Amino acid sequence: MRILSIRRGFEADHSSSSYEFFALDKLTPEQRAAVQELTGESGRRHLRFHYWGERSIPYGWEEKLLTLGYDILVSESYDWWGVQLSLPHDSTLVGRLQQYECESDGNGFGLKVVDERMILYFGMQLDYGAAYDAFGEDPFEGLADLFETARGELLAGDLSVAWAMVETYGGYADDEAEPVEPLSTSARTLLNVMENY
Amino acid sequence: MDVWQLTQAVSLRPETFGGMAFHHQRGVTLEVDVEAYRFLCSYREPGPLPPPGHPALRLLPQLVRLGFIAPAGDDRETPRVVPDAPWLGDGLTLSAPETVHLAITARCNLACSGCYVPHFATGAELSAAELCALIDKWARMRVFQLAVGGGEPLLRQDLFDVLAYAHERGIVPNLTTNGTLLTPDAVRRLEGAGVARVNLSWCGPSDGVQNQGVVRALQLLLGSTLHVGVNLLVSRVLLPRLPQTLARLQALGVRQVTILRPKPPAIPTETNAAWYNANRLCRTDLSRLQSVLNAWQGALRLEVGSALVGLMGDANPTSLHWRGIYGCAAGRRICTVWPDGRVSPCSFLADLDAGNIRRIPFAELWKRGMNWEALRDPNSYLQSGCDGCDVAKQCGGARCIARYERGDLFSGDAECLYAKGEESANDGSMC
Repeated sequence: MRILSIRRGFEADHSSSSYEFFALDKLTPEQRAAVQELTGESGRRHLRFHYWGERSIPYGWEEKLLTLGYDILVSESYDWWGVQLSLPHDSTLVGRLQQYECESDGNGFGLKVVDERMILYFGMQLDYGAAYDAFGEDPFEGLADLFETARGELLAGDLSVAWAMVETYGGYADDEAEPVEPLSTSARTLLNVMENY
Repeated sequence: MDVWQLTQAVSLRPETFGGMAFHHQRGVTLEVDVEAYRFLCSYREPGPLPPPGHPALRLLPQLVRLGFIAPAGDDRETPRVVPDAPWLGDGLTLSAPETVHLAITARCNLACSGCYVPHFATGAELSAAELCALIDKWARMRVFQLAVGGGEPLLRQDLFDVLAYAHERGIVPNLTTNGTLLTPDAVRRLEGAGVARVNLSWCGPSDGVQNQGVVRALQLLLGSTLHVGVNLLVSRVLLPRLPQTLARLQALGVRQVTILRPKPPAIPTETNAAWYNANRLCRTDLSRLQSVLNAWQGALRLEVGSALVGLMGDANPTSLHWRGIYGCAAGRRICTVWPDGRVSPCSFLADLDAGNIRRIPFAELWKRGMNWEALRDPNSYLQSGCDGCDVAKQCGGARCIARYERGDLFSGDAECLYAKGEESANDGSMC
């Protein structure tokens, strides 16, 4: 049961898309220069873009910034939330994660390898008000904190958060993915948010 | 027990993929899958919320926040629903247009050199009675919106009656005008007729006299309850002055601007063809335009016209689909009805005439889509010059430009930022 698309109409003046990039380690001067050149802005740990109406981040920026030093991207567009994690490429981890790929129409989990980095994508539909309820006044920061923990778990080999996406959005694919038990705390939190909002 | 219901501002209609829901007051359009459509239909009558664990509970917060479902109150008018549409479309083509563009007259008090209104449109205009009969048919098909333009629609004395009738029959009327004929009384009558949005056409620095009229019209409209936008036709002449133009519009209190690009006339004349060739935007121009839009985003709400998806930023197919952006929707989601009753897929493909509603019922014209077969072929975009573009299905390029440039409706849109290969000789030589 899904909403396939939402097109705002004449009362949409407040509608917008936001993208917040978080770096776990401060960007180096070289990385900042590259970011500055691409976007005209840079932040050592945090970079935010906000677009009104139907406009959104320029093509290619997300991927590029996630290979230029930012580790986490949280985006929101019309109640469609996406989190992307950038991790060092690890072919063993890629192989293990592929079974959990379940991205469809922007929801679910996906991964790709770009410039020696693995970029993991988590897409979910959450009502904005509910996101506030779940993550506090700054849902972007809240989701980034949650996925920072999840990122650490993934690097340690715990794939709970990927399984949580299959549980929610996997549909028929969940027959093929190996369940993860017990789930990590971050995965349980994520599952709870996705199921209840 | 709390009882909930679809709000009366909502229209529903089934489609092959599930269905569509339109909120008349907010102008929000939802497309939902079959299960979600059934769920929405189940709230035509008041009922309790689904039990815990029901999959619909995941959708409910959005549906409530968007104003589609609300606690049932005293106002329990039944929402507008098409239970059994005679034809469900084929997924790519909808069962009925979302919006009908109605060129209510070809007459105009201005003589813009780039005007695209074809010569045949000057035939006998559909009368108010004919238009009301047509609106009845559109209401039955559950057309959501009417975009009334011209010519200059305010030249028709019966305009307000037609707009009010559409509103009464559950179709949201919108108006595009050059603004020069707007008076305080006309604005009040537009409000009274239930018009949702008025867009004023702003042509540029060479049309100074006209723009004085538009400024007066804007001031009148911005003091009204109507939603107001400006259609800004960004020609090669206007482009260098675009930042100043946007600043001026902002200073006037405009919040919403729709960016349009010159398009070739379907039936060229010496005048309009010369204007188009001198003003069309090449890729270099589009890059400049994108830079200006990036600089101004946030200060104004900037929309881009159909098939300018490349200027919207993220060319991510999933994201575009989620936001209901379909680029060129000619003959699949929209159509144009000309003053003499002819129906074409859009205003710039006027020669692809599917017939005249004076002779063939509109529903039949829409379903048959005679001469529109290529526009409705799901493989056309993927075999066209747009093949290989990530967003070919979401954007499709501007078919009128492709045809003008190469004589083939499904060649690539040479005036696209993402177009592959060389620009046209004409286009590139002028950059």
